[in-house]
Amino acid sequence: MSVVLVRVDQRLLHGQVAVGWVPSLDADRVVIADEALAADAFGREVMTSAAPPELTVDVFTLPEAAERFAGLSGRTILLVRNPAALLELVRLGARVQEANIGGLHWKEGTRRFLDYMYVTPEDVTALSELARSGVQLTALDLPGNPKVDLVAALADGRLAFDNLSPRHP
Amino acid sequence: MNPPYPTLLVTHRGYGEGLLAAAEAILGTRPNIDRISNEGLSPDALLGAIEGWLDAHGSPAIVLTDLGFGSCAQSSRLATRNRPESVVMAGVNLAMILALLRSREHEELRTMLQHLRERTLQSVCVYVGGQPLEESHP
Repeated sequence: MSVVLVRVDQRLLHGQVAVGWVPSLDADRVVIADEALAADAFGREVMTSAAPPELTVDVFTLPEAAERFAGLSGRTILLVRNPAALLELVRLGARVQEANIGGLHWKEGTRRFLDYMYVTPEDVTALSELARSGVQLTALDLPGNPKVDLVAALADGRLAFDNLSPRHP
Repeated sequence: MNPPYPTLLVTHRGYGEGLLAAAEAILGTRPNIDRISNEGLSPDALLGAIEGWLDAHGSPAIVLTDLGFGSCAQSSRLATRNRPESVVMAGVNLAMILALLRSREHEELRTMLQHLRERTLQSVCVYVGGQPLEESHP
């Protein structure tokens, strides 16, 4: 097996992932690493019940996902909700080499970096720590669209919170 | 006057607005249906917007949404989890909107929902070379 994509997406498993990424990567499994969803039976059922039938979907806590990371079977897409969760996954021992920031949408207190990437200061801090840990970070909402190198954006200040626009979408 | 079953469209991007504009073109009047797009909204923001609409419109209420496995349907289901008389119906298309507008004034809720589902399924027609799929030749 391999984890074919590690993705940060607030919406976790949704249309862009199921219809865009799964066929593009020929993935057959999605692992969602999320504490809140793992503790919420109804939310889990909502998230997983309508997934395409050919897709295996598992929901783990972050420690469970980190422990299983190296041994996950199938062609797996691993989803986390925010950069802090990804950082925690790495700190717990998951050897993540590359990660895709695919959907951090507007909420109060965020600033715009891309149309699909609004960040808080905490998000930028977590991304900086991930970059320092050697994780290759790119922003990309859908396969086929242009990738944005976030490690470079962190290095040259484009992703510094104070340099971003507070405008609402 | 408010319709007996207040209705909200929750869709990706401009799909909801497009459906309402198309219905208006057919009916001559703008349907009394509200809409929310998920565009640019975090899951919490979308959930809050749907819950706010449900709070303002009471129960029973109907939420129509597009992809059954998408963020719109997920947030809609989460918003109605403790509202037993609120409905989420995924797979919305123009036929469903028109059937709803014809029936929501005078049908009991569950009867109307079954009717809506049947009309929506019946609206999917496939023709090959002008002939129904089952009668077309390979």
